[in-house]
Amino acid sequence: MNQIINIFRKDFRQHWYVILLPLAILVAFAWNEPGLWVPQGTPLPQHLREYSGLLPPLVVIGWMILIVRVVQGESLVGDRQFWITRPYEWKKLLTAKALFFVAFINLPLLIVQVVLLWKAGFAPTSYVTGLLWTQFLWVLVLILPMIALATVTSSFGQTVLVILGIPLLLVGCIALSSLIPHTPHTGLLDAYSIQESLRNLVLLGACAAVVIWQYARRRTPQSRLLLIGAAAVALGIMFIAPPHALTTLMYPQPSASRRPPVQLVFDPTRQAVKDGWPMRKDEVGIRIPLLVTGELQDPTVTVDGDVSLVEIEGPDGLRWNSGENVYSSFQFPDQSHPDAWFVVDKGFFELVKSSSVKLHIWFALTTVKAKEVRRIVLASNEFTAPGGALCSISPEPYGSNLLRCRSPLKPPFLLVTMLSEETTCPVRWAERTVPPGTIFSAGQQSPGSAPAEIGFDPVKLFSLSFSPRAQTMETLFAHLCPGTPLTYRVLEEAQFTRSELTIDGIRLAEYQLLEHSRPSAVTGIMVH
Amino acid sequence: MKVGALLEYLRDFYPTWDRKLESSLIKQFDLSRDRKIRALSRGMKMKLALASALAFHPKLIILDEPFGGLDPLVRDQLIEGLLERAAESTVFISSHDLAEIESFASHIGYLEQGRLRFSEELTALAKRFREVELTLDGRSASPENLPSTWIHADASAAVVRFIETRFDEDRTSAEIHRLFGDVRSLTFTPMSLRSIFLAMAKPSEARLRKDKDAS
Repeated sequence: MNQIINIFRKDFRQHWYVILLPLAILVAFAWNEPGLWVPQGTPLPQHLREYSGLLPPLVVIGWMILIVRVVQGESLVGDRQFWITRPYEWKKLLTAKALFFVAFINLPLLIVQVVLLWKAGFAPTSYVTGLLWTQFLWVLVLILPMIALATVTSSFGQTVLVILGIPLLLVGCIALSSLIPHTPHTGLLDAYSIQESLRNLVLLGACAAVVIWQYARRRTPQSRLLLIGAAAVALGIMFIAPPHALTTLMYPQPSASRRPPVQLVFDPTRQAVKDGWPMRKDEVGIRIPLLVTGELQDPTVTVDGDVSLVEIEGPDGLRWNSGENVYSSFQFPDQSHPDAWFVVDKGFFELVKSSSVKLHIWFALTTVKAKEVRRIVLASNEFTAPGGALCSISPEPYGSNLLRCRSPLKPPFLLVTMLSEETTCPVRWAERTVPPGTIFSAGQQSPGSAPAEIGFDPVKLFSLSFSPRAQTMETLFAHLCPGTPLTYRVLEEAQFTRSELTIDGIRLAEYQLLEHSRPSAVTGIMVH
Repeated sequence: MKVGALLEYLRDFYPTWDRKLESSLIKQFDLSRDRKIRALSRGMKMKLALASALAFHPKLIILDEPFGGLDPLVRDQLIEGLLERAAESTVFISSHDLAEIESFASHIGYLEQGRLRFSEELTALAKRFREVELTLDGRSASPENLPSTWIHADASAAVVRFIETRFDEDRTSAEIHRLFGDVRSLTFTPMSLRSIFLAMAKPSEARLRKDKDAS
């Protein structure tokens, strides 16, 4: 323990000025940030608020410099350092460094976040897990990779060169990845999240291994190779694990004992809509009318369906796979007659358009249910909404159809509805009257199931804008006035399943979209 | 980091750290605790390194080329500092500065191409190496079938020179007389460490050249 404290103390004495810089910026950030939560009552002059976006990157740069300097204080590259002939124990040296970063990176950030939560009106003690999770994310995203980089480079300049090289590498990766077919954004969780997790796991695993290996054995060439190898593997994951395979992994086939939440069938009796937006010349849009049925026991449950893959089997063994050209989605029970639409290569279409083909469509189904339903009456001042957010009616000129909310650590997964006849103020829709029973809704998606997001400000801002649930070509927003009752649903993703629909003997020409047209995709959270 | 801060830092690593010795070394080496290490000259840095290495009474000190690029005064100070602790420590120095080593080393090892060619006391080494010069009585010499301990044999008219690597006056004289008969004059000259090193190094170089030519 003595050695750990001794090294810690030495690092502090040697690097106090490097510690001070990001700390000062962090304090400035904490001072400035509350002024950005609401438009009024800004504590700092306007020009300072404008530069507030610069503060977090500056803190990160300051931390990066600190990490590199502290790690390279006992450089692990080469064999002529003063410390390797001293009775250092590598575990204690590594512990001292880790302790240093916790003390001068995590702890100040944690304090700032606690203060910001408190200033935003949230009790920090209720969000300890989330606050610690944020710190953990910072360790994974910044501290660990930077330590790994600093252990395999001999000087600050060398580290900077490597860091500057990373964007070039990323550009190369992006260019390369554009050559690989991708699955589009499907469902509330998508295949990319698994792929991304796998990539991060490989990279972070390599970083952790390199840090331990370097401190224990100082095998710099091998450690460098390991990092380069991990980067290559992370890139290769895109080839090894195609997104569709990941989608099927995330959305498993329902077991025999458990039926899928909805049943999908082809609806040949209905004429599919043929309008949309422009398409490329080498592709043809196809729209298949569907009928979705299902008995949802719980009225708060909805099912989001996304077409994840389409396969066409034509005559003479002709086959075609949609790859990335699938876009449509539906929500049940709001949409019981949706269309599945996708684009086909024009060349393939011309070959099979008049023939009878077999069509396979895979759907990724996400069951969303409300874990809390509460009816509250809009107050004239700020009120606590279900999901933990603090909300208030946005004053003019920002739009009285908006509820401005702030929530701790991450936005809640919400659906808020309002009945037209229950509004206490008139609906702004020219002079036309909104029919009774019109439901206005506003939704907020939550990014993932983790307790918090990475960032500096633990206070997340979001707005709820109310528009009618029914599809309309005209824009219609609801006014929000004190006294209006709102129904808040705090949602959660309950089940992920897959469903496959096979249509035999279909003629694609009959379902072809008009040339140069592409339909508008239906997205968002629908209300039951 | 300052000189004082470094010593204070290192102090906690060694249970045997001697504060009094630290102070005396600081004084002996003219070091100032308030000076920044990065502002010290190479010689002063060496002195600080030595002070920080001696202050905990190490049993073994390993120094790699410690005197390279230092002025004679600093060298003397360092050597003096080392010699004062010679009774309690073994000092292992690797160096190419043979004259310097010869002035204070007690044992010498010769490492060549990663192999230890010899390792012995300096006095014993100096005793067994001699430059031998003999003059024959009017005959020309033909230095053939010489003992393997005689190296760099060279004959010029009646004069024969070689280096004896296992010198013993009686035995070497007897061997000379057995091979060359009566000689007019015979001299044995002691060799410096540098000369011994060169004598040992040259055959290897010649061998290396030969190997290279053959390949």
